[in-house]
Amino acid sequence: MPTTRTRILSPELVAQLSRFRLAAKRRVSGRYAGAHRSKRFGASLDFADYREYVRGDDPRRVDLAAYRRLGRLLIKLYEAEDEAAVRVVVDLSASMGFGDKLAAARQIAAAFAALAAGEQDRVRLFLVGGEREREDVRSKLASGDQAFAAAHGGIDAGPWLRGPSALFAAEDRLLRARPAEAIEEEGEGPGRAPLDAALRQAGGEGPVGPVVLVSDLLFDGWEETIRVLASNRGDAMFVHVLGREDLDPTVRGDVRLVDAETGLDVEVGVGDAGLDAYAEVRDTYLAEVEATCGRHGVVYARLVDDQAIGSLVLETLRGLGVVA
Amino acid sequence: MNLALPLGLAAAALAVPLTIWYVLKSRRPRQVVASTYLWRQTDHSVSAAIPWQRFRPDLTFWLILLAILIGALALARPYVTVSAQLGDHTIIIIDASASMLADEEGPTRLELARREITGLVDKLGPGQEMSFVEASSRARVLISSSSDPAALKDALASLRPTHGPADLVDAFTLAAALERPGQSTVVHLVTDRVVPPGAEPAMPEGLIVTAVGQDRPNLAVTRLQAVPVGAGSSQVFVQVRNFGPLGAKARLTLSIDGEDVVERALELGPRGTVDEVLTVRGGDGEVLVARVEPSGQDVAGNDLADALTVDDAAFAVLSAPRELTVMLVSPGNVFLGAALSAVPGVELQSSPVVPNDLVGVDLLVLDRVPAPDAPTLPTLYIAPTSLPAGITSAGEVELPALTFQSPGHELLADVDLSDVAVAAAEDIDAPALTTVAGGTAGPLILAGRLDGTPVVLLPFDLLQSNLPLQPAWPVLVANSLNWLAGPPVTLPATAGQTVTLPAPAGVTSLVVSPPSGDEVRLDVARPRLLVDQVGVWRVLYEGSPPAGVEPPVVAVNTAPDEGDLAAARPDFVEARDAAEAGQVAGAAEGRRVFGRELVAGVLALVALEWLWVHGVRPWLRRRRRPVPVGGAA
Repeated sequence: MPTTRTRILSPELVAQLSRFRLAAKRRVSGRYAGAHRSKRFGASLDFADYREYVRGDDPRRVDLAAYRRLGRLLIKLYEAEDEAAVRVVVDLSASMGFGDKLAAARQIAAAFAALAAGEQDRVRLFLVGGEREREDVRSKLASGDQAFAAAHGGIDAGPWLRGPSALFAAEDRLLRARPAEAIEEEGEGPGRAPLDAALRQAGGEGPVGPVVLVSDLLFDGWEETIRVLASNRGDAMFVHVLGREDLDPTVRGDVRLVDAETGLDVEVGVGDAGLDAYAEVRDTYLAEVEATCGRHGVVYARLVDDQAIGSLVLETLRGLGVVA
Repeated sequence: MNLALPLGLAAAALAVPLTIWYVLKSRRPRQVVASTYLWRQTDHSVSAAIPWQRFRPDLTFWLILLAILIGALALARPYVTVSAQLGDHTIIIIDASASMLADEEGPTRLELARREITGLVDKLGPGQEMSFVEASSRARVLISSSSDPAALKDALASLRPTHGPADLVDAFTLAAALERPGQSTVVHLVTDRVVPPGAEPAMPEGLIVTAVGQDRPNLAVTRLQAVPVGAGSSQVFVQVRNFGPLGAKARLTLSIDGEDVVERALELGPRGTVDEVLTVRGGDGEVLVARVEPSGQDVAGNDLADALTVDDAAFAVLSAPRELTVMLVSPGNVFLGAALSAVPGVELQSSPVVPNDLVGVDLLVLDRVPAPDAPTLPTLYIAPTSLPAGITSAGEVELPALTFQSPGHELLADVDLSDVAVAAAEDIDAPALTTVAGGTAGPLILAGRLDGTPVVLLPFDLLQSNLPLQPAWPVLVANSLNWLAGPPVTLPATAGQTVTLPAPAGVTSLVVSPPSGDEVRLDVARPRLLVDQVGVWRVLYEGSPPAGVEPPVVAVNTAPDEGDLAAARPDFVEARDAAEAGQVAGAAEGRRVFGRELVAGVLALVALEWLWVHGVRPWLRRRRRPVPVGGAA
């Protein structure tokens, strides 16, 4: 394991992660053999089913006991075990630039890369809505490549990473990722990250595997994003990264709050009563997100930016059965 | 500081609606947060729905408030009292003599004077008026009692220097005429030299004199005179002066009708003079020009400077020798005959009675004989037994006192009549003639024109006075002949001088072309011309002048003193200090109004507010990364 070259995860955490693996609940379909149950039949020791012998089958796979008992040539099928193709979709919208949410998102994505690397799985990072991605879109639009801008606007789907170098390459990309710049003046902001498009792209390409969304999900229409995430053929997981300020704002008095992404503003007068009302709305929102994920079969985990990543991976995800 | 219009401060009330606007308008601090999604769900429970808020001004409020207050102050026209140089009515006499054209290493002295006066105009307060008087050879009012700075500056810009000297007496008199009773009047004189002693009696009380200019080097042709010597030649007298404190080398060039005829190298000492007598050949009426220009370098190695160019050239008109035939009609007067014979170029003829045929006679002298009703020739009357038409006698006056002499009249040039005594004289009344000398009992010397013919009248018998025994007698006779028949040599006139042009019979008007080219038309009855430009003035006769009579050409040169750029000047500092200390009688307080500066301040504040809103503040925000609310970056 590349324990000495990590830059996002601590070596201790990487060492701890090496003892775990991703536990895909749904069958996967990998290109290479791995440790996860595949949709295909294979040559593992786990019996799966019988089928009629057809010419060309290996005679050694004929179940002689069944032939003696039933008088039919039946072939014994065994479970196949493939690698898991993990997609991690990282929200790099402007809101992720507040607090330590970006650092938390990087750590989560790197942790999945580390898990994949340790289990001979593949991982692919989708960086969505970051400043670099927005610049790519702008340059493509400037060069007249409207098709690219429309198809990949704001989404940087990196290469599949596999093997011992996967963690290093993933960290390298994550460290270069920058969130979109927050709005500065009056007017429209940088806008939302195209998470829905990224999730569709992640779930629709390549072999079936888990899709992990890392986002703060603080925008209108988040329910649709959860639905798109759930439509993935493989496992779906949402890691809800929130800032402490998102949960317990420190703002006081009469202020005009401006949304960093959309520029939408709201004038508030924050006092004790206001904070209580905010906490009520916050709790309702968190409950709705969790319930929505549950309804759609999406594994939900929450990480606040002032929490350690280790507890999320080693405790929360383990408890949820995402890792084993 | 005082306010000329205190009501203008009412504009400061605009600060009230400004403050109200800031209270009413939502000006909550803008704070960028990760998302307002949850805040928007809180709806009205935490939003401040009240239409007003606690007064929380920002920088823009203070800038606009300051602009309003300064604008209100500007409307109130604040002022401070400044040095006592302005009164309710300030009259500024501006020296417009030729020396004000001197170059002061860039601007001329006149330009420096303009700057000084502009400074006074800028200090003009509400209710204060100002007048400008141009002090040239003939003073005139440029603008009278104006409180409009723009009009005053326009009038100042219209001031053009003449080539003549400044008649300060005339200017002081004109300034005194502009004074109004009940107004505190302050009179300024902006000049480049001290007030001459002759003008001091006319100097207004409390006159503030401001000197302009520094001592400057100058070379000048201070005299040029050509005397015909016959055979088509003229003897030329040229005087060149160096008014500078250092010696100078110069080149003198004489040209006739544009063709150089003589060139001399001159070496002049500090404030030295060089006289040159030269002989040149030239025809009658041709123009002789003498030019001087510095050559070489001074002791410091710099090219010699010449700060005044108008006096670098002098002009003269060449003439042919004059022959004058004078008919003396007298019962016998040895003094008169001798004096007439002594005049150069005079051929004297005598007769006891006026001949019927005066062909060939240029001038008539009638001594104690009856005068014809109307003169047909220029005539010198001496105690005529009968007077021509237009002149009457009220009787004989015994021992008339001589108390008045016209000092500027050509007849009395170099004539001293102070010791003249007359036993008896006729009390003459001649409205058409000018009294050149006389007393309370009546005129003793008169000159003028009768029916367009020049005449001189001495209404007393020479033998009844001691005039023929005075040294002034032959000079007076020569002056009389010159005045009656014109001088034998046309002497150049001095700029600023009024010359009388000959107007022969048959001429209806005279058209004069000055060097500037702007023609002037003169009435033949009053052919007097103010020559205020250096150069050659040409005259055209309109009408039917006698055959062979050519119109004159008048050469005009600067007054010699005008070239002295190192002449004494009043002490600038002392004059100013005296005025500021209020030591000048009649001086009042001036006002320094700050309206223009305050308006500029208002504009600057508005510009600063715009720059802050649209430039600086966005720039600062760009430099600042979004600061997370309650957390570390």
